[in-house]
Amino acid sequence: MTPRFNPVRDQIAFMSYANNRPRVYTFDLGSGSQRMLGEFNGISFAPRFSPNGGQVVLSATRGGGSDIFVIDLGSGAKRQITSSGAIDTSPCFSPDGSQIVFNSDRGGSPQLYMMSASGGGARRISFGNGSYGSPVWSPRGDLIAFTRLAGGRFSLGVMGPDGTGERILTEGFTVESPTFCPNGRVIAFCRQSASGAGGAGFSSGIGTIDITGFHERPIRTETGASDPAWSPLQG
Amino acid sequence: MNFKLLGALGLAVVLAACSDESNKGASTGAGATAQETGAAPGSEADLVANVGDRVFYDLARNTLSSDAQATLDKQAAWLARYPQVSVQIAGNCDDRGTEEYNIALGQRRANAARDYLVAKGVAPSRISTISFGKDRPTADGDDEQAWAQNRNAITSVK
Repeated sequence: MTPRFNPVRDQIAFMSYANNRPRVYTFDLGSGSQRMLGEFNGISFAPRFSPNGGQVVLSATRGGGSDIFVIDLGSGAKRQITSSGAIDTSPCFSPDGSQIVFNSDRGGSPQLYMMSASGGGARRISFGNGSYGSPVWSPRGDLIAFTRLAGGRFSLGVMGPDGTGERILTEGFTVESPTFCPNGRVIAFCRQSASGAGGAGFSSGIGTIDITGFHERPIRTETGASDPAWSPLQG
Repeated sequence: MNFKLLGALGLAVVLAACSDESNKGASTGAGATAQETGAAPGSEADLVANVGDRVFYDLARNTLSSDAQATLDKQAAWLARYPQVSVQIAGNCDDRGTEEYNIALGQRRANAARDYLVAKGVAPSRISTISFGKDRPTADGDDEQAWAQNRNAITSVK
């Protein structure tokens, strides 16, 4: 689940339920070598690379919540940067590496928070109706794309890193997992329909939409799909 | 496993969850009777038929209702009767949350059920926990009734 590209190396990070032990792994696309990332007692999930490709930020469950960690891929060193006791997850570095946007229910419902990459000074940035999740930073640094849930329906939007200027781009039964293209102008995401009796009518696919909110298009896949990740530009 | 990684051509994607593993033992829950059903004592079938293998949660919550506590009380008594049995508790969510948040929420639910059993005297070493987030719905459909079924912690014999 949740594959993510290393921005500078031929490598992805993802979460797998292999051996009934859900954990984050890295996979080198060239050599095919795969390794579990870090040692955690709980589930590790929601990985994203740092802009220089040298670190992965992820979350790991503990008690009734989950904490955010940064793991250095070179040394393997693990640094815990949140310990709220609530669910802190879906962390994403800013393009300059100085800040991390993440999802937390520390205030009651899941909302978006911003903190420094070393972990201090978390402040809430989402204040619309409902709850928010899966924040991801534009490569240009000017926008955060997110999922919002209100009234049982999902919408996908963007806001400034300080939470201002929120705009909803599209909505639906489920629209989630936004990922920016390298120039920051288009977002790919997952769209799912509701299922009826026996799962009838369910579909899951990938779509794209301009950050202007125009030109929404489905991307054809051979089977149902979810969890898109847009690759970096190839050198 | 419901998920496979696809090769990456610009976009990497993951296959969507299919629900073919759903429905096994659906709708047992707290209403199970203590009658003998022919299931081997101490088995998964015994747990499902005579004890109740799952508890349900309110929307976005991990608090245990009195029904849930009654089911867990029966599970604790059953585990005391069969000390050789180890179990896994799997926490699950409805699909009205994001993929990643729901992984943590499912684990929060599994841990709440585990903590209750431990408080009732079950050795922690006999209980493992896991979360499947929103990827293993037991009830098909997207209505309040199905969502209520899918917000659960399911105990199974390991």
